Amino acid sequence: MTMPAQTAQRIEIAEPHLATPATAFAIRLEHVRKAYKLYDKSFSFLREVLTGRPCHREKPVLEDISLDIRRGEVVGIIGRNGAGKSTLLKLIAGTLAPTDGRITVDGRVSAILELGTGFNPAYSGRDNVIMSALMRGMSEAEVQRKFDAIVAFSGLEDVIDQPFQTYSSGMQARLAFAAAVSVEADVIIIDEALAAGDIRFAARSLRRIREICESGVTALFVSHTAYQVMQLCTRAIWLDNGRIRMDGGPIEVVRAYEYEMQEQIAQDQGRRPLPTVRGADNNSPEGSVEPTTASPASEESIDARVRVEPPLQPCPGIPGDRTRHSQHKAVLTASVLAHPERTEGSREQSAPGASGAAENGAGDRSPSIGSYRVLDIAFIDEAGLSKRAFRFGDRLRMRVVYECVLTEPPSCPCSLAVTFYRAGDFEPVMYFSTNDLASGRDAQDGPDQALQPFGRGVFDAVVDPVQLRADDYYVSVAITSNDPGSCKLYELPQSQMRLTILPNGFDEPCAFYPMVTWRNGPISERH
Amino acid sequence: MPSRIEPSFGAQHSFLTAYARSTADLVRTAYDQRRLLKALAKRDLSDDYVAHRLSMGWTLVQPLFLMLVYLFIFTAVYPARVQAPLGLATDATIYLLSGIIPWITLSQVMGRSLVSVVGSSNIVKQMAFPLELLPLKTLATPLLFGAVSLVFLVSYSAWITGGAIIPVYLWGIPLLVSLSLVLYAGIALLLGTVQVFAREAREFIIMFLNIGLFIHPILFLPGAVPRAVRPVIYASPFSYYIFCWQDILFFGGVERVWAWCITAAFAGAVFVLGARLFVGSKPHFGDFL
Repeated sequence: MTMPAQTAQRIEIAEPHLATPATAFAIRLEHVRKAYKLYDKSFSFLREVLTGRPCHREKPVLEDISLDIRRGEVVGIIGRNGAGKSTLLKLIAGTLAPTDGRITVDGRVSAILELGTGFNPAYSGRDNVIMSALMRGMSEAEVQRKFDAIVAFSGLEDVIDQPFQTYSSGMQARLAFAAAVSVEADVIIIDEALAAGDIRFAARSLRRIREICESGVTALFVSHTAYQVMQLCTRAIWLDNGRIRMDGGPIEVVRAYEYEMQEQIAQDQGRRPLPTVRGADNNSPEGSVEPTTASPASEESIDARVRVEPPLQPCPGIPGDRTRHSQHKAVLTASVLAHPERTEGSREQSAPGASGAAENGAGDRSPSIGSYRVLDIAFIDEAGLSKRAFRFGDRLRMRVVYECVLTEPPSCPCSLAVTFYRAGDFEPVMYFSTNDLASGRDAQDGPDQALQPFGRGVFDAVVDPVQLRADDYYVSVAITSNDPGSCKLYELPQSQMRLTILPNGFDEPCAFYPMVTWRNGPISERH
Repeated sequence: MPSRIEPSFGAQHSFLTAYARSTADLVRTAYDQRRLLKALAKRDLSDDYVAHRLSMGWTLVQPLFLMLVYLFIFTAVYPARVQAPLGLATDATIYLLSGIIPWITLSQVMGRSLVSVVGSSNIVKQMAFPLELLPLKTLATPLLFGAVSLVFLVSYSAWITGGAIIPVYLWGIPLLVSLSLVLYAGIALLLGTVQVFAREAREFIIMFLNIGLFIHPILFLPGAVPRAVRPVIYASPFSYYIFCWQDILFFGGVERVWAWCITAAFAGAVFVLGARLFVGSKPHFGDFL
């Protein structure tokens, strides 16, 4: 809330139902630049204030940021450490002032930049909640009204009158989070404050954040957890070196960002780049990967199943779920960078020296992403119908239609990997791949399991029975190199499919049900 | 209407307009946020004693104990006499305490306001919060100390003079308290800001507070020091502030009009300067903490 002085007007229009918004945007940044001023002498700043003569050096953090955020938009800001994310949030929250440019914020702002600000460990939980709520701009009546809900949310009813310092750190975080998210505002700014406390509370926090995001307020948040950005946001902004690298739909932006991150992780780990695969066809039709149900086109491609050439160059697999996972994740982002034109509605603002992963690793590492396209993903039941909901124990056939746009065959066979994430917390709960993780060998023993090096193909994976508990899931598909030493990604429609598993007559308490063979008998008969 | 965060030191305003605007901003913020200010001030009072059994009781015990010690020393250990107008108190204790009480209050204000912003760096950096309240709320503890001590002194003085001085107190003390509030608020804003940008300020203030009791006319009459040293006394604006308190509490009237004029001008100037400095540099606090 309330930054006094220059925001006095802001407070007057704080109640959205009292005043019709005069503007369509909630936040507007015009050519904002932020440079931290470094003063060599301690009194230099005061001299500057009193005389108006500059006496400092500058360390730039943000350069020429222009943004319009409309009312009700939920914007995720991603970027590596030091990219200027927190600085941007603080500028909008008003705890920092821009060096140049103009920031306009219309409405009451609540910033959760850090948990527990203003808490005094010597006071009771009750006193701290009340004080922190007052400091965040609530009136006393408002605090009284919400107090019980805040405490109930934190789950600390029994200890609320004990000193805050007697709480465990998890309990402290829970109470601080509960107090912070209770504030009503037009613009909510959240910096990595998510998921405090134990796993149950983390899930509850995430739900609360989602409620906030869905309540129609304008929300801005910084998160390193890209999935959260994809789940919660209607828009994502990738900050890189103090500039907006990309601004658009969360899926495209997160995809581009994660690809670059994964590539850098791979470099750090010393994984070798793959031999060159030339000829990604940039002129091929722009198949923006829309999650659709079975379309006529994909029916065709099933019929047009092509015989697969044997792997050109067998690559011994290395077991390791982690490798696979990182490959899988990595695939995410790449296609956008190789094909920026695919990001419909996305704006890419290039920063000097930051022209994308594809160029960074130019030479023998490109092209990767975009070499394959996933054209369609469908879940098909026993009757051959495409569905989005299955029952526990059903037979599920997953069909992935893809297209290879390479003009030369890839130097290494490619595999397909599928991950199911639980929608509530984005925990990966099920994974399968054409690569045999258990044996460590490439399991592409039949032509049906290798990806087409040219043209279109279709993959069918049958999961029978479905052993996931009733819940919602996001499904990610990755086409990745079969070379375990690399993180070459060809395509990754990440979490674009949502699948619901329904209960089958009983309530399963666990995430996964293996099919188990039991034996039982007297102890002497064992072995 | 959307508000703008403007560069704080724009050239569009003249020098004086900027000062007037900052002062108005500050007063408005303090008024708009008076409920929060009250809650923060209450918290400030209890902060030191939160884990104590007697809790806030200590805020009364401490000044009363100190006053009793002074009373004992000045009446029993070093009894002294200071010339006073006929018919009023001839008790030096009243003279000494009428300087000591504002001085201790003032030094508490200085000491506490130095850390008011620096000590709340997490609030400055992490919260959208009316920062003006940070130095202003630190006035609570010194003011309570001053108030309790003053009640003690007034009671003692009324007892010594048989109540004769009370009519003067009735208009004099409210007047001086108002002047003091302006002065203290100005000092708190000024020092709270300065300490953010110049950490050495604290050392200078501590040195000043250490010698303050001796370079101001608190424990002696200004005429009692050698002529060569007197300019030191008159160089400090706080001497005139002490004169005002002594005028009312001891002499029972406005004895030194010039001291009152200087004090009023000084308090106003410090407040306006403090407001300008604070409001102008507030957006930059985050960069320095």
